[in-house]
Amino acid sequence: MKGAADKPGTGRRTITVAICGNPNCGKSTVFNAITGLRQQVGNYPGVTVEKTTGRFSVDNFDSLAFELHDIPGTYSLAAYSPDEYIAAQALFGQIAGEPRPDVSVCVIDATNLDRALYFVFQVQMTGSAVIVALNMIDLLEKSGQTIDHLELSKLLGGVPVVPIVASRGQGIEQLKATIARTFGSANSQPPDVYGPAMTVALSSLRESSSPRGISDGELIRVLLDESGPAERAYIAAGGDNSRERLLAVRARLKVEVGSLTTFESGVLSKSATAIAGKVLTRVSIEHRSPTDRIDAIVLHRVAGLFILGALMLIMFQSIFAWAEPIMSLIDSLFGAISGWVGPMIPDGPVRSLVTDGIIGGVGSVLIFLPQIVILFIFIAILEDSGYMPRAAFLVDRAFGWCGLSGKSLIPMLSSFACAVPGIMATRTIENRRQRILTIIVSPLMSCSARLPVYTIMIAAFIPNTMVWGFLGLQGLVLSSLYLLGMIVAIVIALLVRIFVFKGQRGSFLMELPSYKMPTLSSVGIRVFTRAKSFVLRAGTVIFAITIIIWALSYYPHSEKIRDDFAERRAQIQSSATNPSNTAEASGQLLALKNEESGAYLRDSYFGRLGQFIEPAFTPLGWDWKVTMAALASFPAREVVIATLGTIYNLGSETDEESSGLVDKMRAAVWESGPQTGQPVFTPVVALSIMVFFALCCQCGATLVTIKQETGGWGYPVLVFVYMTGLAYLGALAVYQIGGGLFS
Amino acid sequence: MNGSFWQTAIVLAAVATAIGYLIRNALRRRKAQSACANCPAVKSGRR
Repeated sequence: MKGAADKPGTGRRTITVAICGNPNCGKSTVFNAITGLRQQVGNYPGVTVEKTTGRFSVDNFDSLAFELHDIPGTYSLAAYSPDEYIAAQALFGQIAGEPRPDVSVCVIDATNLDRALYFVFQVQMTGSAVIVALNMIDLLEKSGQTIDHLELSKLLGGVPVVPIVASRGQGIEQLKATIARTFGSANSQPPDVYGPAMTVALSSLRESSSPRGISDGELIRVLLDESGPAERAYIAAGGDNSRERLLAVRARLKVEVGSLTTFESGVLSKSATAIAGKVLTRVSIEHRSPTDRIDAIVLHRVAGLFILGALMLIMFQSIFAWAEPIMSLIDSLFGAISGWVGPMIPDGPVRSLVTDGIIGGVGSVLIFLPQIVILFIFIAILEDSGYMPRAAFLVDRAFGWCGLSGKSLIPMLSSFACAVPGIMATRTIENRRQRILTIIVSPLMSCSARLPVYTIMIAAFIPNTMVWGFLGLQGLVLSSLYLLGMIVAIVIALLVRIFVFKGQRGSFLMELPSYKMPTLSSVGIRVFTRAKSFVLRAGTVIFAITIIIWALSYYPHSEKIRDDFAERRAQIQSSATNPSNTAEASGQLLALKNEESGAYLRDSYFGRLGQFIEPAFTPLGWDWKVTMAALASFPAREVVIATLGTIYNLGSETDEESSGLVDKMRAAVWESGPQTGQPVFTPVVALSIMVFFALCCQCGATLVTIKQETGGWGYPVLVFVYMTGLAYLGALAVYQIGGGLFS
Repeated sequence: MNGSFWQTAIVLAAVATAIGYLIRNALRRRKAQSACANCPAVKSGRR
C-alpha cells in the first residue's frame, strides 16, 4: 500500500511518517514536540491498542503535508504480545485502512544504544525510509559519554541520524527537515546483520513465488517467528503450497544456524554491540554516573527496601496530614450550599433530593478530591523520576517466586492508580498464562477509588495517635490496607501457579531508566487530568446513581407515618404551655423529627430491602445501612460514600454540631436486634468494612476491561466471584476475630 | 395543579434521566474498545 497521497482539496501530498522505538525512549515526547496540539487519539481498527496521529508541516516543503503516526513501543518486531504485533503490522503497512509509512523515525535512547540498535536493524528491513532520532543525548553527556552520530549513520548504511533532546525541543526542527528531505530520496542500504544463510533463505523463498511487494523484513518475520502472525498471514495469502515451501526453506535455515530465536537475538545483539563499541566514546574520567551512585543505595537489598517502605509511609501520612485543611474547607462549603439552597425550595421531595441526595451524596465524594490529588502527585513524581521500575525490581523476587512475570510488576503498580490501565498494560507480557495471572490479581491492588472509603473510616474510627513516637496510627492503617492487597495478590498468584497454571517461574528483564527531575508541567498535567476525571465521574455516574438511591430511600414516604408523627408532634406542642417546659418540648420535638426521619428510611424501598438482606451481613458487624451502601457500590466503589451520605442525611435531621458524615456515622446506633441502641461503627467494624472494600471487585469498568482483554466473560466472572468471596470471608474474619479480641 | 404535583414530576424526571444516562453509558461502554472513559485515573497524559 502506498502511503503518499494527495490531500483532498489542497493539492498537497500527504506523507505518512511512523514514529517508533523501544518503550520509555521518549517516543511520545518526540511526537508531542513535532505535532504540538495537532493530534488525535483513537484505536487501531479492531483492537484496543491506542493509536495517536498528528499533523505537521516543514518550512520550504510547502507542497507536502506530513501525517505522523505514533506506533506502540516495542523492543522487537518479533511479534508475540498484542502491542508488538500491532507495531510490526503498522510498520509493515499490513493494517487494513492504514497506509504503509513512507518514512519511519526510529527514536532511540542514547543511553541504551545496544538494545535500541537491535530494533533499528529490524525496522531497516521493513522497506520504508528510516531516520534515527538519537534522543536523550544530554543524559548521555552527563554520564561522561558521547556518540559519533556521523559514524553511526555510516555504520547503519547511510541512515540519517539526528541527535535530539526531545524534552527540551532541541533538534526537533532539524529532525522535521530531515524527514522532509528523506522522503523521496533513495532508501539506505541496511547492513547485512543476518548473514549469508539468511540471504540464501530469503532468495529461496522469493523464488518460490512469495506474495508480490513483500519486503525482506516481512519475509524474515515469516521465517523466524514460527507459528507467529506473519507466518499465518503468509500462508493465508500464498495458499496450501506456500506452507510446504516455507517449512522446507526454514528447515534448511535451521540446519545452518540452529535455533531461530537464538540465531536472531545472537546476530542482532552482536552487530549492535559492535556498532555501539565503535561510536560510543567515554570522554570523562568519571566512572559512576549520578544514576549509578543513587542506585547503589536505592537498589541495595536492605537499604532499598527500607527506602521503599519509608516512601510509602510518607505518602500515606501526607494524604492525611496535608489534605485535612482543604477537606474541611470543602466540607464547610457543601454545608453552606446546603444551608443556602435548602430554604429556597419548598419543603417536599425536591428539597430532599437536592439537599440529602445531590449535595449530601455527591458532595461526600467530592470532599476527597484533595486526597486523590496528593496521591497522584506522589505517583506522578515516582513515575517521572524513574523510581517506579526500581520499586518493581526490589519486590521482584517475591513476584517471580509466585509465578508472575517480571513484566507483571508495572501493570500491578499502575493498578494502584486504577486497575483499568493496569490490566491494559499487561499486553506487554508475551506468555499468556502469566498475562492472565497478572490480570486476575491486578484488581486486588488498592486503586484510588478505594482511598475515600479507607480515609473516611480511618478518620472516623481509628484514633489519631502516634506509634513509636513518630508514626501516625491512621497513616499506618492506610499503609497496611495497601499492603494487604499486595500480599493477597501474591498468595492468589501462588495458589493459581501451584494448582492451575503449573509452570516455571518467569524471568525478569526490565530497563532501569536514568533518574530524571520531574518537571512541574508534566506532574501538573497528569494530576490535573486525573483530578478532572474524578470530578467528572462524581458529576456524572455517581450523580446518577445517587439520584436513584435517594429515590429508593425516600419513597414511598408513607402518609401513615406522617399522620402518626403529626399527632405526636401536636401532643408535645400542646403540652408546652409555659416557659419552663418550652425548652424541654423543643428537645422532644428534635428527637421526634429524627425518629420520624428514621421511620421513613426504614419504611423506604431501600430500607425494606436492606432489612431483608441484613441477616447475611450481621456476622460481618454491619447493619442494614452499611450492607445496602456496600451492595449499591458494586458498579463503582465510590458510590458507598455517596450512599452513606444520602441515607444518613435522610435518616436524621442535621444540626450544626453534627453536620458532617463522619459525625453522623459516629452517632449511628443499631435500630433492631440484640445490639439495639449500641453504636453501629466501632474500630473493628470499620476495619471489617475496609478489608471488604480492599478485597472486593466493585468496579464495572474493570470487569468490562478484563472481558475485552481476555476475549470472553469467563475471566471477569472468575475475578468477580473470587474477589467477592474473599472480601466477605476477610471482613467476616476481621469482625469475628477482632470482636473476640476487643470485647 | 398544586406544588406537590410539580415536586413529584420534577423528581420523576430526575430519576428517569438518571436511569437513562446509566443505561446509555453502559451500552456505550459495551461498544467502546476501551473502558477507560469513566475511570478516575486513566488519562495519565502520556503513554
